[in-house]
Amino acid sequence: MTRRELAAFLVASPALAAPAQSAPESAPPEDQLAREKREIRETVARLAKAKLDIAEEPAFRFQA
Amino acid sequence: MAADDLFFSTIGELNARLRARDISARDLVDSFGDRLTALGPKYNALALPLLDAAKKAARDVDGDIKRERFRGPLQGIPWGAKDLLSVKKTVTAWGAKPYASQVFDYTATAVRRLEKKSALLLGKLAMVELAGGPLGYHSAAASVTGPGLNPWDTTRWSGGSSSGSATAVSAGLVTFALGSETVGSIVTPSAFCGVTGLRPTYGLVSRYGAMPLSWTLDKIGPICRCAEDCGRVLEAIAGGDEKDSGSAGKSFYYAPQYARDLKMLHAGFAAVDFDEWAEPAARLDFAKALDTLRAMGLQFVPAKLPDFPYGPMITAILGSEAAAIFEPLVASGQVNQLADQKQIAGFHAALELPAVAYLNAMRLRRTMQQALRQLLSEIDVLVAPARFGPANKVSEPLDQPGDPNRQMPKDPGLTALVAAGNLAGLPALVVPCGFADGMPIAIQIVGRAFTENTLLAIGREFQNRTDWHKRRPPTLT
Repeated sequence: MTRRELAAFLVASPALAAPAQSAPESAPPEDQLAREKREIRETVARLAKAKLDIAEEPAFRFQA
Repeated sequence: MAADDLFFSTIGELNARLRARDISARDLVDSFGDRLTALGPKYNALALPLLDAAKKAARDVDGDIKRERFRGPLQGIPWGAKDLLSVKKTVTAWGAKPYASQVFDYTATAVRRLEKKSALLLGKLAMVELAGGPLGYHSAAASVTGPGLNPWDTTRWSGGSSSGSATAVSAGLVTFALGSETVGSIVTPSAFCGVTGLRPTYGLVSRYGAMPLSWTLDKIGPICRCAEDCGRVLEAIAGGDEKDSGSAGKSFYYAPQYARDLKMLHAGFAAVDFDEWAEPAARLDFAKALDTLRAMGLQFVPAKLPDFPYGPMITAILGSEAAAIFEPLVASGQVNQLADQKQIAGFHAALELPAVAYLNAMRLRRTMQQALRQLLSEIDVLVAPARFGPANKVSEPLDQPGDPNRQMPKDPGLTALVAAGNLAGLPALVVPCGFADGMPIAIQIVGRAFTENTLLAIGREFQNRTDWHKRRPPTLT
């Protein structure tokens, strides 16, 4: 695109012209991090409850 | 033909006009290009226009057509690519500020295959940052281009993560688009924007040159005006690729005429999905959609998914793979430049997933695939609402339940179909089937691996009998 087109596009698209405004550039608050880590713990706990045959191998391929 | 009809034409309709020289490829680039750059930013759907290259390619197409060198149905058709697909020497930002100036020196295989068919790439389309990350996101605004706004009502979300792809097709800014799905990123925006989306079987379309989020879940697929167009685009982009280790090495030929007689097909469904899980405003049109499918001859039988912890499996697999892929982003601290706090926290937390959880999820995945294969040996397709209601309001959080007062059914029905279908790598076709609160709703049809022609034959016949896919957003008509 030409420089003129680019300038017109950026004016029409404020989020691109000033992307920093939409990004906090800060670490997540502690409570948010704690929530996500709790979800991980619950995930691990629920997976641990699932019945698995000792011989069951991981799936890496998808076949018809 | 009115100008608006041009923007809402199918691939077949535009191709016929190009071959008849009723319109030129350059005309299409100019008309669609003006519309894309004028309306795309209004919906936060445009990441980067690529009109100079499109105009140059259009000259070649017009020269070919003049000499009657016809190169198939996509020749001269304007399209857009989700901004996770690389195009050589242009910015590919993955919807995320830390990658806002990222440039690759190669082009994604899917894009290259469309170039070979002489389709005209008009621009990169907006997406949720990093396609949603390992554990999802809180807000529709989780993108460097701002929240995807729905052409049917700009106070509502377009869905994600292929936000711009579905929006651009819905608003007539391009004739078709490519999106990608890890867990729901083609299904959701297609349903919310009232367009037809196809999630191909895992491995059918090369991911080379596409941002990886999860090596074992990512798929690339078309978002179009109708099932027929999805078939044409899939035929162009499918095929083996040694540069993608997940490639199935298979091609796809769109041939719905050779699909099985629809009257021979058994469709599994759960009544509770349509009668209770669906939002009340959506139930009437969902019921009519089932009636249409029955009238087409599909034999409906009750079905339920095998009992597996689909949610935790997705969390463990997607979380672990995304954490491994984006570990350098977290280590550098640039992850904190993302727009969504939940996503930032998700990246940090996902690094703490133990290897045992990932491996056990993958082991469960194998038994789940076998169970699903058994289910689909007795049933040809599964049919369910693509989403239970219309698009959320942009202002609503995405990670909390909608109406806390609503009593949810105890029977899960096929509510885990998006997760299960993605874990098993199965194809899904999303077809608009009506409206709720003035917004589009859609059904999803999921089939066995590599049975895209069956899904497309069902979708095509459904669209022969209905006109939901032809409806246009009211602000644009």
